[in-house]
Amino acid sequence: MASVTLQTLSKLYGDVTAVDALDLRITDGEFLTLLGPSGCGKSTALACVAGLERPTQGAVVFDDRDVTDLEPHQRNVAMVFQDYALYPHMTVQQNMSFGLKQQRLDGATIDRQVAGAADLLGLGPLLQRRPAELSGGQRQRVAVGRAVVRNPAVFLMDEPLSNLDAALRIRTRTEIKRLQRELGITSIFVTHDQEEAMVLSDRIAVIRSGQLQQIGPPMEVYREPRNLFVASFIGSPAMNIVELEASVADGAIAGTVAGQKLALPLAAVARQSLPRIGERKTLLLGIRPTDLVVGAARDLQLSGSVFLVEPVGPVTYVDVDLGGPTMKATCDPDQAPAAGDRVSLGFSAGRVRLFDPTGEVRL
Amino acid sequence: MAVTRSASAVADVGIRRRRDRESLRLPLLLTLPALIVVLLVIGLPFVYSAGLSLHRINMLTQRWVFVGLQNYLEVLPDSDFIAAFQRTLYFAVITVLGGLVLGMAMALVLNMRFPGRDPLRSIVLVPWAMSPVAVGILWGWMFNGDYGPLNAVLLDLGIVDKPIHWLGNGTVAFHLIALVQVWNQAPLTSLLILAGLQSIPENLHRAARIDGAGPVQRFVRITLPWLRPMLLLVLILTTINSIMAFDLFWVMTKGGPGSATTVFSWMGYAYAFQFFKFGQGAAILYILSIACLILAWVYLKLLSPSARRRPARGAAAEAAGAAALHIQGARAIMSLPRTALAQRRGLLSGKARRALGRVGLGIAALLIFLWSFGPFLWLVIMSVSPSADLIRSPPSLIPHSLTFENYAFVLSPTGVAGGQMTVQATRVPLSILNSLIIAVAVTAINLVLGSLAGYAYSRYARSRLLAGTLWVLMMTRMLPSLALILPFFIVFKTLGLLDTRTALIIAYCSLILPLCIWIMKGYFDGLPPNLEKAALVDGCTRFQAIRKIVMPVARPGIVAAGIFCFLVSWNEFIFALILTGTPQAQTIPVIIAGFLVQLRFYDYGPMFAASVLAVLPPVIITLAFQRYLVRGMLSGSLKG
Repeated sequence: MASVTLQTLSKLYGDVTAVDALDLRITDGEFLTLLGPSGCGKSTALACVAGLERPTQGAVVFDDRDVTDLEPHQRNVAMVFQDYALYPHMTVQQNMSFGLKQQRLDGATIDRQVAGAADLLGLGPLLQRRPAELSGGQRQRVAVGRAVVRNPAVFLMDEPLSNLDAALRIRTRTEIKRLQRELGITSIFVTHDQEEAMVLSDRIAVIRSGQLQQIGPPMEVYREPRNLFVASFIGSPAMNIVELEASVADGAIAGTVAGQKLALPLAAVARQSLPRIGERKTLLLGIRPTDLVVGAARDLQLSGSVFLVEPVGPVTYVDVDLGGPTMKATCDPDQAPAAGDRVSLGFSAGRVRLFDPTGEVRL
Repeated sequence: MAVTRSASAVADVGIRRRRDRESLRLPLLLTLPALIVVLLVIGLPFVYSAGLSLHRINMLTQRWVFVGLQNYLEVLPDSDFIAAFQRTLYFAVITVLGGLVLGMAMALVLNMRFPGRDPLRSIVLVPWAMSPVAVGILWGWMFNGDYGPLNAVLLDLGIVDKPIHWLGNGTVAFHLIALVQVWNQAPLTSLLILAGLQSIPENLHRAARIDGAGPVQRFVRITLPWLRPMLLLVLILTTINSIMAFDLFWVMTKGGPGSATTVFSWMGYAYAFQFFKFGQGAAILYILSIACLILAWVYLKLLSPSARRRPARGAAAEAAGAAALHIQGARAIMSLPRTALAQRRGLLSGKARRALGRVGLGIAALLIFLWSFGPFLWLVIMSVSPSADLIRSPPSLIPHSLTFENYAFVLSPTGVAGGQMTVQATRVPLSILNSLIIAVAVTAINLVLGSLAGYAYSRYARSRLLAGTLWVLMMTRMLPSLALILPFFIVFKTLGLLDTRTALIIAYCSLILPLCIWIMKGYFDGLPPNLEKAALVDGCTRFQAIRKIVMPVARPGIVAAGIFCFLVSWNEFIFALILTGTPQAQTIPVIIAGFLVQLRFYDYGPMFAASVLAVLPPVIITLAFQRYLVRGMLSGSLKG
């Protein structure tokens, strides 16, 4: 077990900056997810932790040991790759024992470790097969098994679930969470799927263009996004973002969205942001579809006409035209409106998030 | 914010440099052995022959006189030279085009589904596996003016009443050699194109069919563009092969009649090794080399403007990410008018067309079989015919009896009791042993050097140093091997290596190593890099990851490259002809060709038996490993 620290880690490919001065500390036994869109540098950061890439600048520290210049095999890390990278010429058993053999362990220990890991993941009946004879889900489990079999100091996963179909993905992610909690291995997980990140992580680090945007426990990142990028990247369906003409007057923020008046309490923004709003300014208002409920009696109201209805089962989403901007809202599936109906949308001021359109930061 | 950060990154550039150097240590280590060999067996000889071309050399006195560009100036305006240049060009154009059309047609047929397709895919490679010398002997005999089977058929059918001297007519001889060259080369073309065809995603054609494209349109608009990188490789390989074609001319016409089939390579050979004008010979070959390099460059420019396009990274991906951050504005109502559907009618009903297609496919498959396998079969039949039957006058196709005495002649060096025996036949067993030793040694050396270097070139393609050396390596493929022989001859003579197997092993590396590296690089390109990353994480050092994971996984590619190495060195003729002088190092193609020098009537049978023995190993290997060849080339050359 180990803690992992990234100190102003940067990686440049020629002139392209993949990772830009990343500072992170993952405590012993923690499950941290690097979350961001494809090409944001999260996989590169992971490769630097694994030792597969040399950082251009900065350091990687395991506990108190600087491992920046160590080869992967000197770091005691294990990794699950997106394409699994199972050795095609070896059986499942050979795949799983390969790393143990590299450590020059005796046969009995190897057999015990492999049997143990196979047990954990239900791989027993597959041990003599080759990767080509396995289904996608089985391959994925072998990849996980190959990684945990050594009980490594740090467990790295690079989008390990993205090649699975939806149902299997949900089942597997539960398995991974259980495995990690029970073995207590320090884990870094890379994904572009915000839901996966929410479900699995102790903390999420949101990355954009190689830079850290926000780090915190899943619900904190979800509820209190520090900027517009985090707000719109986390949560599905995505947060509604519409323009709000606002001014501070009479102890409240008076605003209009598409000509409809909204009175927001001053507490909707941080105190030091108030002077920045001033007399009159265009802001961005963010509200999650799940917080915007059709026909609900809440302290704030907007109205518009429905143009699309999307039932997903537990709830139904409706797309509402406010007479200009559009918003996605939630309603009870049994009382869903039809396209063309006029509806009112209720939401509470406590869930409204305001952003400055120029810096895209939370106010 | 970003500005200050990158500024601090620049300040740390010293650290970066150090780490970059470290990461290049392994690829340099892996490529260095191959590069040193290439420098020694291609670079130096090439510089040496450049020097030769600037001198006049007296072979008797061993005196070199510097004459500057005079050799070139004498050769260039020479009418013989210009005629040879035109012939070479014409020969290249018709054989490349012929090979391309035929190879493409065969590949298209072999890409369809029909019973017996898999064996046919192997059989189609037979002409290519045969050594050009054996091919020349076989076809030269077919067209033989006195006893040839072609005349026999025509006489048997009563179409002509006396044999025609096919190779006695310059124009006819020239075109017949071109035909044989196409016969020999088209299989390689079809192998490469077939590999390309198999890599086309099935849905591409399905999408085109739904879009209403017919077979011809799909071929022109989907298949051909997809094959472009493969076609580039095919064009370069076959053009170089055609320009450098030598063995067929040597065996079939020796540049004659008159100078009707004197192409560049023959001319250079004749100057250097028949008239011993080394300087002028080198000049001719140097001009040929430069012409080849220019051609290769033209092809690259012409066919791969898209190869420079790189996948969007960084900035573009970033823009796409930012677009996701959209602010909800007004909604636009979407509408699109429906377009009219084109009505097309076929001449035949679908059922009739399918039936006709099946018949056509069957006929095409049969023709491919006869074309590819017929001549080989004929060679085997002749090898079991008594010599007396072969030279009957008037000639006839049907042998009187079948016999294995020809094989007995060439396989038992002590001779066969009662048979007429020639010296040449007794040399066959040793020459086969020589060929085998040389081919195995060359294959082993080149596989080791080639796969290590190929790995480095595949995985570290971003390094400018490696990209540069790779480019130079590939350019050496464009050099005619004839240009290297002269320096090899002189250097080996000095070192006392002439007439040894070692000399041939060294010389063959110059022909094979760049190609071997190229095939291996292509194969490694197709392997997921995460494989060795997983091995690194699993505790391997970088070298262990290559040895324990990458090389075992790359076995199909290694086998494919190995087949190429073996075939090229087993079949090679001109190096062996010039660098050996006695049977102790001569290889089987040289011995077979030797039969032609003083051919007596009882030599025909043994000559064909020896030819069969010469083509059997490569043919068997090709038939057995055909699958590996397609797979090995598949990932290989697409990135061409």
